[in-house]
Amino acid sequence: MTAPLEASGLGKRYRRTWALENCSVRLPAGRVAALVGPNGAGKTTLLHLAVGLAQPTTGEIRVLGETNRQSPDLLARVGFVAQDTPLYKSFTTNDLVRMGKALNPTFDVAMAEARWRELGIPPDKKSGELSGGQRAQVALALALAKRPEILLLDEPLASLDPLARRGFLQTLMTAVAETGMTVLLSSHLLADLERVCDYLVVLAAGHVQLAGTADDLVAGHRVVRGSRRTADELPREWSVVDEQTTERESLLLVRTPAPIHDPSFDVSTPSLEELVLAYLAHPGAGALPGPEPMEAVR
Amino acid sequence: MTWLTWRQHRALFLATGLVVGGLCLAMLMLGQQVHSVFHTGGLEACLKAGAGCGDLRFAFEDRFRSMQLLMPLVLACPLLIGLFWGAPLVAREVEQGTHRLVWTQSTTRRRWLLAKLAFVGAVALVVAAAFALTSSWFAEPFNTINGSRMSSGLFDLQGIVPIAYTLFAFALGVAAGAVFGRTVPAMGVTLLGFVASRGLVGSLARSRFLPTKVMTFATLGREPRTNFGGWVVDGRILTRTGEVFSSNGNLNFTPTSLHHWCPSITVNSGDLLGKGDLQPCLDGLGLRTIQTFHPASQYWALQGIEAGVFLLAAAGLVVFTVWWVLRRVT
Repeated sequence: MTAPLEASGLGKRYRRTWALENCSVRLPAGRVAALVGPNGAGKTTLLHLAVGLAQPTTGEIRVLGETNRQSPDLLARVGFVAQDTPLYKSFTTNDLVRMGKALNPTFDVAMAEARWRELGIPPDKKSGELSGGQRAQVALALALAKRPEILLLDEPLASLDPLARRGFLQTLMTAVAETGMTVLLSSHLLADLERVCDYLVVLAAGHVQLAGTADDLVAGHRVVRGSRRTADELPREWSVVDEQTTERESLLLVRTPAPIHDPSFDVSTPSLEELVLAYLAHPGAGALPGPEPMEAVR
Repeated sequence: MTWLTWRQHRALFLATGLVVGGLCLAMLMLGQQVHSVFHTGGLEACLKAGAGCGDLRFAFEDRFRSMQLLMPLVLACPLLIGLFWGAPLVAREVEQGTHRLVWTQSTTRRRWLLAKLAFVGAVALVVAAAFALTSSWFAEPFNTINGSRMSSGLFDLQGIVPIAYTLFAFALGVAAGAVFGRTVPAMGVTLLGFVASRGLVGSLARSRFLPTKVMTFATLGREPRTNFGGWVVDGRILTRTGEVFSSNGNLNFTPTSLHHWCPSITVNSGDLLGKGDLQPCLDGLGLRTIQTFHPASQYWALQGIEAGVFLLAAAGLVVFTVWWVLRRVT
């Protein structure tokens, strides 16, 4: 089965700086994936490459198996909510639906309209006059009404208050439960996504640092607390991602293939957020536990 | 797509419609007065008879001095379309990020851009045509008073060239907007580009589009009518011996030049010289005027060529814009 999104050796250069470099990632179908990384890590670039707003400098990216991401046939199957949820400010919600209908053969007008009613968004109000949360909901509803197979969202939660975030994610998860579509949403904050995401891609400085299912990633890492030791004294199969030491004690986040049975350590499972923060703090850390090389997958 | 473009532009069309419509209305109302005074006040009849009509002409020009305020507005009208329809067409989408919304619907960028260009361009064409008709009608009396509809200023506001200017300004605005991705700089470039290209073509290129005719006649005699209604691009007065008496075709003296050409006449300050006093000297100089001009028959050819130049430039800009938007804008 083709992956909904698959990049290999993908690179994008803007003038002299590489926004994304030699990036390979394969998103399995039906996942809700978080694309996490600090600002400037290349999240937006990756999403723009995926929806054809940008063209790769090197490598290739396939979406639903297609390389030509600007083809209308493919775009009809892809939903995208851009950063800051741009909408035509002078358009009413009804106008936006009409626009969606005019530009997409598969646009589900009834579905979009049902969504406004559900959320209590007035259909004749201009989008420039809506609250941030309503705007985001409208943008999401427009993308969902295309009935996409893959939905990409660029920092959809960034400007929303906690209540609006919850509402937004609720809408999103309901739609995912109904359709089983694949979702990739970017954020520089993981806390919001932890509840909804079951797959994780961490970008740092234009590289994919970490990718895998949330369960695998958590299972492959341990938080270890014990008396202070040097690197040589640790088991060979561990790779230390993050290390916080006091004079007497070490607190380590390690990647290890095997369970740890050493009683001199206090071992616990990291939360997904702890894990991501550890990797973000060390952009050079660790090899990818994520997907196997693409050739091996095929 | 057409509905979307209409929905996006209807407020702008309305605002521009009010401005351009107001300008047209002003031309129609003032023009009505101008025409009636011109036709019934005796000036037209006088000019048709080939006389100088000094007093009538003076009275007419005095009465319609406010026209001079209207003319620059009329000449600037194509620029308005370039600034307010052209420059924001792509730039505002990029500025507000809505290109990321519309380019990720199931429509190609090319189709999106061509639909916008075609729709807004077509409305611009209709507006420009209505405007050109109005200003052509408005200019009629001034053509006759001026003696030619081909001189700069009058040529530019009638016939088909205003339409070509409008489409050029529009295409220039769109191209600048696509390149800069921001409306205000694009407007600046459109303004400069439009004024510069109009100025250059008007002052340098237009007089070279077609071969000119040259006519020589005795300066003091009656001017032959072969240049009637034509566009005099150069006139100079030479003496019998071939010395340049005047390079602008005007026959007049300053105290210095009088002393130079007619040393036999001595003038005390305060003296008024009559034609009779100068006649012997002038006869001795044997002045002849050499005039270079485009005959009136070239009017439509010149209109066609100038319109063609601007339309070709507009087409080039559209091609460039499509290329740029497909390749460069992300």
